[in-house]
Amino acid sequence: MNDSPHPRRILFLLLAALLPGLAASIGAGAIANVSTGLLAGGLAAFVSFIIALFSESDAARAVTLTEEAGDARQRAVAEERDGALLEVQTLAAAIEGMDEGMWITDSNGVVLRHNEALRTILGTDQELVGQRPLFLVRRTELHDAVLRACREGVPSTVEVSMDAPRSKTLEVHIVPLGASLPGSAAVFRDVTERKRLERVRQDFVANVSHELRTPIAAILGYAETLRSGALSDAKHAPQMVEIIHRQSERLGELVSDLLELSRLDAGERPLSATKVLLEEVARQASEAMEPSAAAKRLSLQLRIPPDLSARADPKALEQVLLNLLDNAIKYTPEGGTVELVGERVGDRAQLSVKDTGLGIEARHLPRLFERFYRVDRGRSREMGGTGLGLSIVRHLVHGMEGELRVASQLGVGSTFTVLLPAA
Amino acid sequence: MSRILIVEDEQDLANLLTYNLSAAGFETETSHSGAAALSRAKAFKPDLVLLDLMLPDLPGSEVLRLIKEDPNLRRTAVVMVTAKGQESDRVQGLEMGADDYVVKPFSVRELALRVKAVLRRMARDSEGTGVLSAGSIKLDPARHEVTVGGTEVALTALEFRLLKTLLERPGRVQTREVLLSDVWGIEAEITTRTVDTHIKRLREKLGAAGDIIETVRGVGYKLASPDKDA
Repeated sequence: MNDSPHPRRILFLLLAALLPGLAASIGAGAIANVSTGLLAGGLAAFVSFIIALFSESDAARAVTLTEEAGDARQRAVAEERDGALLEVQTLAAAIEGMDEGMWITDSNGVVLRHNEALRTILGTDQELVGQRPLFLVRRTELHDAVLRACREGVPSTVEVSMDAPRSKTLEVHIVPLGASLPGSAAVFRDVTERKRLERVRQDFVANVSHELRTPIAAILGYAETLRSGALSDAKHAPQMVEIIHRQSERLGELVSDLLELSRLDAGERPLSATKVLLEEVARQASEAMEPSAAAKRLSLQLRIPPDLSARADPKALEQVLLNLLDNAIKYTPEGGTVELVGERVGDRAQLSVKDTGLGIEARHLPRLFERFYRVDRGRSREMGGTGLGLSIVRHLVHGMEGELRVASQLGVGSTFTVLLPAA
Repeated sequence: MSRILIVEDEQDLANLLTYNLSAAGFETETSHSGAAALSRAKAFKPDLVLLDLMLPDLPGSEVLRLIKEDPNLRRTAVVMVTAKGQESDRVQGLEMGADDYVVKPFSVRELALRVKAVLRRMARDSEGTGVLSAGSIKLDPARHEVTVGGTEVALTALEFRLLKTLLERPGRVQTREVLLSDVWGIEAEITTRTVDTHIKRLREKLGAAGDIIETVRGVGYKLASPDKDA
């Protein structure tokens, strides 16, 4: 069955060495994931192998025992065996139930065992046992770390990026098994999503920084210019003051929008779900926007059945409609039409803001609700706005358990649709 | 009167720069996008481009690269204006050959001073007592020309100034900090890799003759002494 001189001892040492290493590297979270029903694959075979070992040696030993001592001894052996077996089973289930991939290597870094999750993480069907790290993950830093753990007993954590089969980033924690058993264990964690979120956060911070600094640069620059003599420049001074005023307003809007988003993110703005007559809310919003529409000679039309109602937060819904109408008016050329249409669709109430505006290219649609995403930076600056409006709209609609959709055709117009639970 | 091309997509900021730089005695023009800046630069032939790094069409770094690669524009000084405030962008810009940078929000007075300092350094490039040479390399400040074995080598203004500085101080070790200060006019708070990148590029352009610029490990660079070279 096994040619090595002390197979049982080696397996026990292996498990004993593994336990603290595992606890250190996978943490309480992974243990909580464990389900005893997950005894499968390689580790299941590993466990049956141990059971076989126990049965065989116990039987041989039992023959040599005297009868009365034999009973007690047999009970003790059985207890020891049951205890050890339970431990092995628990451990095997724990390893197999981990989200993280794991392998155990011998003193040369050759893989001896692994769990099934490792295959998923490495994205491979090939045989892993008997391979060296460099063959399985073509990154020398991982290979070197494994050898360091095996030879010098040094634990380490390395980050490896893989290109194939698909691009991902793994964080690998490598621990030596201990002096009594040369070899190492490594736990693989897929950190691709975490890395992506970090990048999103960094981009957001860079964007906020840019968006804040631009108006500040204008305010500061014109104030400095006025102070150093331009105040007596009767032709330009009033324009400069006008710019300072406008840019201060822009800064103010940006700060309010950022605060609003952060409140929504943190769930600090509880939204109610009361029965709202949509025509009423829509009328308020469209009346508020009427002057801007009139200034561009746009026809602003309202077509909502008077009895159409939804479960929503009236203030949040008004804010959503104001935002959508404001966008529609901004991006619709003079003489065009903006419509606010309501209807019932199944068990939901639908409100659509349709414009005869410039339209949006299809490639921009999936990113339209991202913070600071702009279809045309130059144009949106002309129109004003913080780049956060649609992001806030999406947050509010989702907060009311609704859905937000957009459809658009370049040169024809855009339709933003809000679907809310009907009431 | 020095000519400055202002590349800035924020109209208010473009006007602010125009007003102040005109008041300081410069002739200015404005472009609101990277593509417009490149075509405007060819006709306007500015001495200096004030380049915002966040433009609606092209990344500012790309505009910088295209300017430095254009044989007619490569001696134009470029001062980057960045709102990102991240050191990496500035370092990248300097490594790509920008002459200086200002960070938004900036003081208009300080910006004007920086612009003047860059233009002064450029003017000094053509000063000097005749042709400098080392090995097969010859640098003529008056004609703003570098040749290796008689063949002209196209250098950017920064590369030219870096080579001139080394040629003026043969056999003396120049630390990266000294080079940053004397060539770029930058006090060394920023990473000194900028120097390494430019030395590398300069050596590449000089070919085999570039070996005369020696690396003094952990310190900086020096031009091999003529006696050792002979």
